[in-house]
Amino acid sequence: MNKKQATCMAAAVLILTTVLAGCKTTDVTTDQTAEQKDSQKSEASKEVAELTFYHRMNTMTDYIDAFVDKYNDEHPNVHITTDLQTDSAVLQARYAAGEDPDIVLGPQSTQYMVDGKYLALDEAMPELVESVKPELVDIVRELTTDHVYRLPTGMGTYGMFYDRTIFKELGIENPDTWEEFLNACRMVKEQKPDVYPFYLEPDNLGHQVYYLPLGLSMLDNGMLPYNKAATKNDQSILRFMEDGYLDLYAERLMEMAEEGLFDKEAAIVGNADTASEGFAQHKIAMMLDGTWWYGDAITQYPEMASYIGFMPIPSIKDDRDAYGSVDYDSCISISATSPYQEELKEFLTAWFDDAGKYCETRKCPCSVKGVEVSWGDKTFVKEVDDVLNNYETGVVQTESPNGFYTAEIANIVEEMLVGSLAPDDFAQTFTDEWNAAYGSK
Amino acid sequence: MKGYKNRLRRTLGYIGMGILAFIMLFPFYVLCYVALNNRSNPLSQGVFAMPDITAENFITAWQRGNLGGAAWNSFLITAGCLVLIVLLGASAGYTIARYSNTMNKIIFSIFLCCMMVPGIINTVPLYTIMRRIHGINTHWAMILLLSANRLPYCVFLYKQFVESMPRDLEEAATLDGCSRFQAYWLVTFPLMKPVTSTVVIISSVSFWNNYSQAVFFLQEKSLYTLPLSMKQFVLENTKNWNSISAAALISAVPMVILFLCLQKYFIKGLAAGAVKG
Amino acid sequence: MLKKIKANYYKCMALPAFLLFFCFFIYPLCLGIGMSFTNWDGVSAEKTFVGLWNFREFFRDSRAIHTMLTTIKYGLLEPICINVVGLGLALFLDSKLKMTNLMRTFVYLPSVISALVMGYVWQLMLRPDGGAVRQVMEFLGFGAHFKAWLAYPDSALWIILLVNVWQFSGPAMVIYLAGLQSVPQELYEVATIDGAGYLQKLKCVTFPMLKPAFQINVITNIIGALSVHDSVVALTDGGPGYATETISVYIYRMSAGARAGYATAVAIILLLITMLPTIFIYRAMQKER
Repeated sequence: MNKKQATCMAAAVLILTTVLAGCKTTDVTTDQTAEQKDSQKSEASKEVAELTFYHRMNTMTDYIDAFVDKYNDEHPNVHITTDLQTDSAVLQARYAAGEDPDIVLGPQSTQYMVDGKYLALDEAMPELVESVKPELVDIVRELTTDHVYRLPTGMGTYGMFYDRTIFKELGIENPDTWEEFLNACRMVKEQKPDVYPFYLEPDNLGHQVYYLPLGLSMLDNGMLPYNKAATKNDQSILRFMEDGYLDLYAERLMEMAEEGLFDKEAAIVGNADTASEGFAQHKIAMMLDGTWWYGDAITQYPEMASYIGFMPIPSIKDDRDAYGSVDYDSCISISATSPYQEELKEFLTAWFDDAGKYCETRKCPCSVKGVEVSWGDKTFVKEVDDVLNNYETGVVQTESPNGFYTAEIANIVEEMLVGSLAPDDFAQTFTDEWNAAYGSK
Repeated sequence: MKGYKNRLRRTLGYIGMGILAFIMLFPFYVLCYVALNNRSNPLSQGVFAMPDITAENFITAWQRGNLGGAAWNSFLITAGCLVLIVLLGASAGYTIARYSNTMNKIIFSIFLCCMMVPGIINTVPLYTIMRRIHGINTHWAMILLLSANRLPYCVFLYKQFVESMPRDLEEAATLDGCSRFQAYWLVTFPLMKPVTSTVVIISSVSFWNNYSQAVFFLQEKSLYTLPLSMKQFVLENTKNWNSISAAALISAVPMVILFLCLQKYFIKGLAAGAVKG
Repeated sequence: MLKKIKANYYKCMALPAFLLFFCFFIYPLCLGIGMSFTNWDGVSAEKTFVGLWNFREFFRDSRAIHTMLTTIKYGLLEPICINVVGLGLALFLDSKLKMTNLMRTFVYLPSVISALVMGYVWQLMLRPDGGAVRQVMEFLGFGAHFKAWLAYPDSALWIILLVNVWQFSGPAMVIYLAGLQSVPQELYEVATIDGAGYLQKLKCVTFPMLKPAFQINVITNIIGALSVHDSVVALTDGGPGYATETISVYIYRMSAGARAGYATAVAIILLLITMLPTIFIYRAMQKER
């Protein structure tokens, strides 16, 4: 009997310790809040607002964590926890379970905006909306309800990065048309065989489709009407098959592939990392990408700042000028369903007070009127300003349906590059997948 | 003549082992090389150039990734799960092997069939259930969940083993006046040590490395297990392959040590019964 | 009363395990099966019943069928390769050479690390620019044969296969070793007396005794191979294009792409695909006993 009791006791103790250990950690967190609560009771008889700050900016975590820590210290009545998740499935699961994050920094899907998850800032905080540059507010405005649910902290732009040293060495002039662009590539290929004339990697395979073919369509129709049609899947305006320039794009891309003007292998196994490395070693002549890539690349390889330049996007259609793009960067929203509306509004104001500092770290221009930020190398900034001032810039990423973003588009392009998809079928496949994502049966 | 043949075989054997060792260990070498290298050295210079050795990556990984805390969380969860599956699995396997009435047969078939079910079917419904029982961000709920997922395999191993054990000792114990349960607990269970150690070794790896469940149900950073912290670290330091490699090495060390310590029992355990006919 | 419970408890000892399993596995599974008959997008509060629509959708979509074929192809190749390599290693390392214990550890080591991490390491090594694999090949003299295998649809799947065989031959080998060690020596001695050579001994003595080990390995490997996910994501992310997209990857993408009901339906299809060979092999093996 003794032995049996002893064994039972031992097992029970083991299980108990494990369970207690499990409970211990949760107790610790509740203890902290209790402590904070106690210190609050002496100052104000308000309870501490527990807020979650969800973001996908994995390169800005240091800044965001520091900002939130400082804010928590200065505002003892709130306690914000940051949550970095680039996995959209996790966010989806939270919304599905009713756990809406209080602050969201990063892509806000149209579906969530229309569902009323985010506070309409044009109604609740009109002065804040006024302080942001109007062209950016227009871009982020939600088109079906005509409300502003999110505000950008910075500005981004998309265009052709190039290596000034290589251009100077080979005497290449900045290309204005597609033919000139191809000639520049050919010159690089001939005279510098171990340099990639044009670099493509999977991240920007998808982005390019937004800017090269769809961008032209957007210029034709006007940005706002086009994006409005995109959110409603209004094919009478979108007309991917007829006016989307998609088959022209497929043709152009495959021509370049056949001439060997870009490396097909790198287009599939490369990443933003290899692009930065390539530029750092003067192994890349040109690359189409956004300024979001530039900031990270410069942080890792500061020497690059002195020779990376910026040019407008050459048009794949022959009789059109090159163009640029003005886009938002780092959009932030606050939850409409949270009980702590006042605290959230306070936070948002504080966030935009420091928008300049955010943009300096992010290395992009600031969205707030009148805030000048030294965000990059002087010559580079001048080239970007040149493009923004002298070329058409009404191009942004088309509003895509849920589940059909750059990664999925990149897959379709990859299929074409490896020969599993005929260039003639590219436009049709794109349209089909787009429609499928809208759930049209 | 025979001596020469033996020596030839032995030499070939050693050469074969050398090649095998190289193939198996080379990626670890790459991992160590990158982890010890200074960040400013571009990766494209290859893995055989002289590295600029620095311990900085490990320190960064440990501190910024909070790997110490994560390791403790992983340890708690793994230990809890192991206790549960051994206790529950052994008793279930024993009963099913010894007393196959209809109920036990049905239970066993259900266990077997569910081994084939891909875990992803359960994730979204589980999220709703866990919320209702307030199990999100708790260790005990994770322990229950992971143990449940692992139970079929355990029960299967225990059943196979018990079937191959003779009943004599238990019968003797019952004759001596023990109840059936006492006979099981005091006689049979200690004899199941080999299969218990097999179960412990195989399952600890799966609990320790669990990611697909933990990512949904452990959301607070202080509760992250090692794979979650790893992924978070990778996210926050995307291009910093050097730190990422250091973090990966640190995460791998506990399991490697566990395996090295227990490997003797592992093979013995498998031989002793899990694999017998 | 208490005595009656105590006396009969042994018959119900499987119930606690079953109860836990029911709450955390079977119940969500049933809910999940219910979900597969709706077109829920995972976010909104409304779920509409659509019957077998999701299943019909799957078989109409060429991308979905392609994932099924890729998965089946991989699900057949991987168990075969792992078992051949595992058995070969077990036979090789069953000898009495000095370093066998150490070698067994080396072979088992990769399986202790998560598949995701190993996938990323291999992806790093297979880079065209300065990847370790290319360096080694150049050092050994056949650098010209290097290709960026991950960039081509045909070779990408083989790379995934290779990495998985490399990583998971260890557990297979260990199970075979255990089986080998449980073969009584007398059988070998009798065979030698009867004049059997090495290969014959292998065929007539070793293989029959290894049947249980073979059964466990094959069943576990088939289940694992058909649901492979982490390796694929780390090495190719389903690429190039959709060439290496397996059903698990497809399911994950669908559920993240606001098609949660459809994704669950596909998961059920995967379950059915897994059940067929598993039940078949299990029954075949049981009969032999």
